[in-house]
Amino acid sequence: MINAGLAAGAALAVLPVILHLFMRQTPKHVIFPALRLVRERQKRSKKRLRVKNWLLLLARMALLALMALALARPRLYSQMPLGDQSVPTALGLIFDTSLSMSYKEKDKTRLDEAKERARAILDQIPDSSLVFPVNSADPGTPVGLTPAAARKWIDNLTIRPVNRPLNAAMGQVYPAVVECDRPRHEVYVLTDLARSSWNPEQPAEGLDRVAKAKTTPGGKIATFILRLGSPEVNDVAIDAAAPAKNFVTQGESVEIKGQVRAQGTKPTSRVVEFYLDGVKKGEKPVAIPPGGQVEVSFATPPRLPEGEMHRGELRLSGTPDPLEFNDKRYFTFKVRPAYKVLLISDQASDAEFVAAALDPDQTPSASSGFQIDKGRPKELLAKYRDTLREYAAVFVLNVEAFEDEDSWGLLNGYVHEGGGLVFGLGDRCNAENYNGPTASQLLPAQLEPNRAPKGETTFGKVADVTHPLFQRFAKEIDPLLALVPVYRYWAVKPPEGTRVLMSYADGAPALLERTFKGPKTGRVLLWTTPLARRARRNDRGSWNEFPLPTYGWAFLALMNETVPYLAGSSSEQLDFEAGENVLLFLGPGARYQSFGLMGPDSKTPDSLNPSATSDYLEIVAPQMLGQWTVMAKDAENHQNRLGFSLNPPRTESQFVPLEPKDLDAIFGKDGYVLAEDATSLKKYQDTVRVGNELFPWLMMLILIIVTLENFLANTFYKESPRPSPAGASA
Amino acid sequence: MAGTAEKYLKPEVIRQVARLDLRAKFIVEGFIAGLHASPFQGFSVEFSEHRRYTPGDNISDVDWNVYAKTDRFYIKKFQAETNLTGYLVMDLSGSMGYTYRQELTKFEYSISVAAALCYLMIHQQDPVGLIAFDQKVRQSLAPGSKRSQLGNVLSLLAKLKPAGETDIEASLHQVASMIRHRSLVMIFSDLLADTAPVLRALHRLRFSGHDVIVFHVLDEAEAMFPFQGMLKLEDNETREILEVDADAIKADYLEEVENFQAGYRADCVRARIDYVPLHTGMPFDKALMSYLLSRQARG
Repeated sequence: MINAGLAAGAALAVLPVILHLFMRQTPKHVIFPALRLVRERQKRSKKRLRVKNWLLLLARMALLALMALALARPRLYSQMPLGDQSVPTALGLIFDTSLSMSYKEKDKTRLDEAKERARAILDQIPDSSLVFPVNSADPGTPVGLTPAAARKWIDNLTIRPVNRPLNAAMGQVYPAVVECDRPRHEVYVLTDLARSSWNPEQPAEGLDRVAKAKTTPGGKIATFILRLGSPEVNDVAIDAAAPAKNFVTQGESVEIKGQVRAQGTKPTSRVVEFYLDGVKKGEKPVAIPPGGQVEVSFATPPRLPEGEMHRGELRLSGTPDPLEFNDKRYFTFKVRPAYKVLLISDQASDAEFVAAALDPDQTPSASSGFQIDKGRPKELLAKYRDTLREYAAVFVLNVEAFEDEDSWGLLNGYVHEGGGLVFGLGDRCNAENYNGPTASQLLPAQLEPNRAPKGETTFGKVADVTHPLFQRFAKEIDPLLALVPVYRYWAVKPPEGTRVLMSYADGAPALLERTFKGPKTGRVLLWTTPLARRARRNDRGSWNEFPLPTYGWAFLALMNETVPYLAGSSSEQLDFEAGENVLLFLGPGARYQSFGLMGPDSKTPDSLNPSATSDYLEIVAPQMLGQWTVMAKDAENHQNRLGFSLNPPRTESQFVPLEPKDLDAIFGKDGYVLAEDATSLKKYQDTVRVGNELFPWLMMLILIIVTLENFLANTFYKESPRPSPAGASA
Repeated sequence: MAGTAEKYLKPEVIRQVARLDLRAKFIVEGFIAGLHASPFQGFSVEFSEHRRYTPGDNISDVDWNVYAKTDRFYIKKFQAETNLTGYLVMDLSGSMGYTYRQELTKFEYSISVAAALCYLMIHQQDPVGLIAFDQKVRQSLAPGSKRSQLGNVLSLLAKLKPAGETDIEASLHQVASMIRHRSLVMIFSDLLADTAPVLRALHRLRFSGHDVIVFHVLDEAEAMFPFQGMLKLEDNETREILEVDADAIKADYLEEVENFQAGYRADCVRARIDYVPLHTGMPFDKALMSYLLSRQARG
């Protein structure tokens, strides 16, 4: 870019030629007898003199041309042919309003800083500009605002717990800026460059529009990314707070586990407070190494009221830190009645181990999460036909056979209605009975002749440690199971659709599962070795040592996980992160007429419409962090209180900044300019709007040429180390 | 220079002396006065005819007049011991009549030197003759040692006027054929001609047995090139004109002059010819010293 008028001054370069032609000195006439000496010398040095004269002329012409060019202030790489005057601008402003922007430094959050910087940018543009402001929380096409209106819009900006990636926000702004008819197009992104606010794997949306606009005259869009806040962060956060399980049986105390993490370079200490239903129940000091993490745990009181939902909270107290949103974490859990479990076995000894695992202290006064009933196979129809569905789980332990198909039918119906059935096959089982027509509709596999493995075997690896049965002990369970000797097991032929959850060390299936879809999912677990042992090794029924504590606690843990799993309560989620859709389980077959949704600020509840068929209530991405309550009213006007906790996403606390290569991937290598502060922003704005000024370089070049011209001229005219004048050397 | 006599060594001063004979006298006296501090102390025109008495010399040769004056014994030299016939050979070409800004033209400078030399030689009873040339020998005066010869030489010198072109080579060859006996040939010229032919002629003179002194006389402007700006230079003999930028060519021209003189010097040294570069801004003592040294080498 160049000032055309002044550049024409470069034509002054011909001035020396004109001067040389028209203002030539009239030579003085001198009689000089020694002319022959001049002529002879000239013959020899004519060529050299000509070159020297031309060089001098060129140097002087170049000098004039460069001076004129310098005055014209040429610039390189100017993207906008508009110079640096105040030009009406189509200005896109994208604000990162994610939780990390609430980080406070010197009594100012990063969002406050973003607002200040945005106002400063607005001060630079004339009132005829149009501003398209967006934040990372709200979707939609931005409306063009005047700078004054944009200032008001900016004043109302707040931190939002739920945000979309800024990649998407770019896609809102770019088209609006492209289509605006103002001559200059600029987009500013005000962000702390936290990785959690971006999708580093994806390019920014709308780049195709930007590329297309580049091809039209004056259509280029300059994108400036303003980094807010310092890259160093000092913060202590509660990263996690959760009960060991979401559903607690009455009488059971549950452990609340929390994780406290420190980001920064100095060790720090805090106090973690535990609140339950709004009442402080405990506190513990914690010392956290720099960049480290510690665990803290609390226990709830054992006799929590039954049937209710309980709201818990872990809070940090002590020295306040710059980021407040992660100083609390919420959780919700329910207390329900003890699970009813039915154990059916031919012999009491086959049921005692499972009973002991679920309810170690079987005295009536002792509180337990399980209510154990024991029965014989022939009592199934007579005693439990109508009450079977009340049981969370039914264990069939080493039963030889069910005498009639109705028993199998009853069990089949139970499972199809969402019940949970566990078979522990042992020495007594009659394969023919278990392979019968009704039984085979139920069982995960057909029984084949039982056998002893070649040599002693043990349990092998769990097929999927993320299965709810194993998830809590994912790291520990495999080594424990590998300790348990197995002497005998039933060979089975699992059909398609059956899932093998666990095998023996020799590869044969040990635990299989079959599920039955319905209003509530029913499940059948099949152990191919009994869930019992015999005291004597040579007993016919001695097939394994699974329940023996000598071989670890795997049996105990798995039995305690099995019942809630079969009851469906282990899949119910009550804690969510902001941005997720909440799915609340209403209960199998529960039908409600209306729901009232109340947020943490306890304002007037919103009404939600129930789904006619679903057992779940879906709440789309609730925004406010904290404890939410849902009042569900049924047809009889009975109210059921539901609830959930909403926490900030963990990634918002883990401040990991984007790297330059990430920005390159998002915007393209030359698609953006990253400004660390106001000074560098000004410099980049000048470069983008005005280009790199060549004036300093031209002045340096002029200086060099002046020196060169001086040197050349003096070389012509200097008094050379004089040959001694004629006559002095005799 | 100190002293009234010595001032006459300056061309601008001698220019004020119109008579050539007086010029000659003043130049010589100025020169001799300047010799007081030189190794030639005690030199005088008179004493140049004597030498110190050494045991074995004939008592009858003692000059008792000198003894009366000095209380020292000096032997009067015979004429034959001291006689050195000198020829003053003057270039009469038009370029010799040139001066840019000096008081004396090259020719006037030359004849002032020549007159002074003649004065010296006559007073030493050395015969002196005169030859003037341009394209060929124009004038000549046979050598003589009487006092009247001084007047003859000076009178002829005063009448000579430089004009026209020159042929130094042909003229010097002619001079060589004119001089029969071994002589001291003193050539006064600006040598603005082709060098090789001139050197050939000088060699001929030298190899004929003569002692040769070449007084290479240039104008001060020709030697120093004091010009500035654009010039239209004109050769007054050939009428050739050349436009030059004086500032641009000065250094080169001076180098050319230096080379010009150096060429002559080198060749003259090889041929054992005395070469004395002069310009019209220089005092005369240099020229006279050259003669003196040459004279002493033979004496």
